[in-house]
Amino acid sequence: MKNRWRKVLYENHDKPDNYIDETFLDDLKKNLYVRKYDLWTVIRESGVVTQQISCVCIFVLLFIYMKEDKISPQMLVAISLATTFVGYLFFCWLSASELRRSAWADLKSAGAFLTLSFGLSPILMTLTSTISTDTVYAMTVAMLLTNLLFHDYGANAAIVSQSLSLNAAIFSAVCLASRLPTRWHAFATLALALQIFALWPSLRICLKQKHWLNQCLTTLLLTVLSVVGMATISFTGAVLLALLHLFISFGCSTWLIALQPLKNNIHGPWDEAVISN
Amino acid sequence: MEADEATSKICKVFVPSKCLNGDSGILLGLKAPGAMCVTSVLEIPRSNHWRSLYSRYKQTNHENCTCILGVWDNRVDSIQRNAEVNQCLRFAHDLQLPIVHLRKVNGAPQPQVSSCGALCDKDIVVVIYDIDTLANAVYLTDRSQVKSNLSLITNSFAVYKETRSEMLQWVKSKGLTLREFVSHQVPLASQLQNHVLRLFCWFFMNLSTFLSLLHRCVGSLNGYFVRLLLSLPACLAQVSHRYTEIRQLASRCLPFSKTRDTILRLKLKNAFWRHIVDIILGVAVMLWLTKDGRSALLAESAMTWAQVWTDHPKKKCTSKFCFKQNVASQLQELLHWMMGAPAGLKLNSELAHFLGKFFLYHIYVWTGNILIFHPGYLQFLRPFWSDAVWCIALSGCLGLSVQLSLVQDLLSMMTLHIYCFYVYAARLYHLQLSGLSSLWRLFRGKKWNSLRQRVDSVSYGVDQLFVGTLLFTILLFLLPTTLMFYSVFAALRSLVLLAQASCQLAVQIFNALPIYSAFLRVTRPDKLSGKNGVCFYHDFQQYLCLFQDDVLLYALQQAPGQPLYLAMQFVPACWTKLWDSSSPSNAAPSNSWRSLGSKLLRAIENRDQLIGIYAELLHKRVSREMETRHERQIVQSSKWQTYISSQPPKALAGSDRR
Repeated sequence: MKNRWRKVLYENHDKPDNYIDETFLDDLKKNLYVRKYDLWTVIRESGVVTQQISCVCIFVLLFIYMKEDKISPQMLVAISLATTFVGYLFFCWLSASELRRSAWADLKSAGAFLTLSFGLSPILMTLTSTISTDTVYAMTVAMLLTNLLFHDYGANAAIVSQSLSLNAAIFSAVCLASRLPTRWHAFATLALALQIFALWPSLRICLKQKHWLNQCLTTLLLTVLSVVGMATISFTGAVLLALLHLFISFGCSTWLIALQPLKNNIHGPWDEAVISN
Repeated sequence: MEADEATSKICKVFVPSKCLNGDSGILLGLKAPGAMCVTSVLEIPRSNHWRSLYSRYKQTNHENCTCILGVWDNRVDSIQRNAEVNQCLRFAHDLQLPIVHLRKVNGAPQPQVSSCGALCDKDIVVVIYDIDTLANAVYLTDRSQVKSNLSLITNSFAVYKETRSEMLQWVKSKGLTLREFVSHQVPLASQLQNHVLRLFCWFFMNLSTFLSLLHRCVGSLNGYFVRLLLSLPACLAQVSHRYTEIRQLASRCLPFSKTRDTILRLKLKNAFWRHIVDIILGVAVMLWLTKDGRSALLAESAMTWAQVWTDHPKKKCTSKFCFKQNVASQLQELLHWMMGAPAGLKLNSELAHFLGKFFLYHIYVWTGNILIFHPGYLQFLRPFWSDAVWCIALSGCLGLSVQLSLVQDLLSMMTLHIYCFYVYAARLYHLQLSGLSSLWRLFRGKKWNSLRQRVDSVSYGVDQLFVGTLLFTILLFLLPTTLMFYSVFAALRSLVLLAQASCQLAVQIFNALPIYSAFLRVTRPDKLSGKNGVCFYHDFQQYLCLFQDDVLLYALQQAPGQPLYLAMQFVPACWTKLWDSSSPSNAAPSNSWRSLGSKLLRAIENRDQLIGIYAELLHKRVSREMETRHERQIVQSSKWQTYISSQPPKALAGSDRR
């Protein structure tokens, strides 16, 4: 027993080269840094995706309402301005302690939005008038899907690009605006897009940071709103949308939890060094 | 390595063909490493003169010095002469003089050679040539091998010419005769031409001193302005180009009789005759134009062609120059067509209407409206127009090329509106394109980092993103309309530029036309050599064979102990070579259709550059065709070579033909 086998290459053990001792795999460890998921946390967090889908649905629904003259654009602009104002107050109240832009800078930005979109709305109205409606709708769908795909859901991945998702949404809004008859319609579409795709996500992040219950409440509210709105247009669509929401919130979450035991990460002395802290 | 060895073993003896018909004698000439050149034949002196002959013309290492090369032995002569020859040979053998002994075989014109002294171990190659054609020709060759052979010959005869009188004196004092191969009489025509050329050079040098004085006076005002004025209109550019070319050549050739550079002289003669022919053609065109008021008629019809509103709309133009439709009304039709849905394209009708109105107004400004007494550009031009055409006709005195350049200038004046259209459309399109490219980066959340010259990602604010995307969308959807306008106007402009470029190409070709060389090539093809300069012919088995370098000569030297006889003959220049030698070498940046396309696509506008590109592309096309034709000729001649070289070299001497 004086020449015990050791896992070093520079010593001669009088063993064949492919000899493996029973102590060879002693250092092997499995699933060291695996995150433990809790079903309800997963369901709650999946609300972000559901909310974004609901937002896209609400945007499209409001466009359809405008197209079918169920809602006047002036009315819509008034509502969105009012809700934006309320949301802004909320935002100020929630993030009062943190570092943020001054109210004057916000006012300037808002002025720029309003004047630019209102000034350009006559151009936007006729921009794609010679292009076929199907083409425009196809472009809109593609852009909204791009928005959903690249949206910042809080994951730290390479695919996430907040500017690309926002730009795609605005592009789709411009496309849709050119399908509507008057300049007020175009302006209302743009204002709506700005409110839903640019301003709402920042307020939502603030709400979520404040308390976890906010997240549940907003998810529920938006889901119900989108499903009910869809029901006024098409019942089948509403059922499908509700099923999609349920699938994402519960189906996908349960699926994720169910797949957890299959996780098999091995660790050992061969790993790269991990700098802890 | 082998080639060097081969050439070092060879000794070429250049013998003028005239030598072979004369009496026996002593060959005098110049010696160079590996080669000898016979310049004259001295009557064989009596034995008491041998010493002085030897002391005077013995072989030294010093170059450019006439010396004894060998003995020419014509056996047809009397027996006494043969005895003299044998005595000479013995004498040379005693002195260890390395000389060649050329012997004519009785009856046959083929000379025999036998070498003595240090030449014994060398392979003698006798090259027989015609001195009259070879010495008087101009060589356009660039092969060093050919050049070295030729320069030996020409140098030998130059040295001979210098020492001729001295030599004749010596020969006369000894009571001998000297046989020469070149006549020293200059023909009257070439003397006359030389005088005229000298006068021409002198005139141009004086003109250039006068002009430089003038230029100094004017240049003190503003050099840049003068340069711009000289380069902008094509006619002034042409005049100044012609003047500069001749002045440069004249200043290099002015000590005229001393210039030995035959190519330079050829260039000067080319320039001179080109100038003369240019002026003659120009005057002919001028006479044709001024006869029967043709210029006024031409001016009138050109005006009608360019204009929509004439003075008398009812009056129909009946002359054959009249065009039924004019440019302005066709342009208006085109614009109206583009304001609709051209070719079924889905354009932004508002923008198309706006742009169409904008351009229509330009045509209105261009033509004017005589009915409401609104003077347009063309109305303004009208009083001067027939005078301008008259000026074109008169400029024939300066030459046809200047006339053509003036036509080019007038064409650019007449199509100013198309140029304006193009510039507006190109600016708009370029602006839109650059805006779109930077906004596309913003769309993806990137930006151009000009410090690191790369695209970086950056986090934009919401307001920046909103404004950027809004503008991006608008520009993107308006792009097809702008692109359509741009491409239509670019096509129109390209047509105009092509017309101008063909004018300029004609002028350029005329500027490079080797008129004198072509004349020589037609009338005296033996005065101008081609790319290969000379070639060596050897006939065996009744095939003509072509050799250009000494390595091949060595390869032929198969039969031991037998010298090789070659006839050096002259290769007349091919036409493309004439062209190359006379055209000025300009290292312009190479342009291709692809670079032109990318320039057009990115709407980078530069008039002269574009004209230059078009002209060069046209020229390339022409010259490529000429080259392929020339290559086909070369391939045909090289077929001969390969066929000959596959034959086994035998029966070198003893052939009947020469």
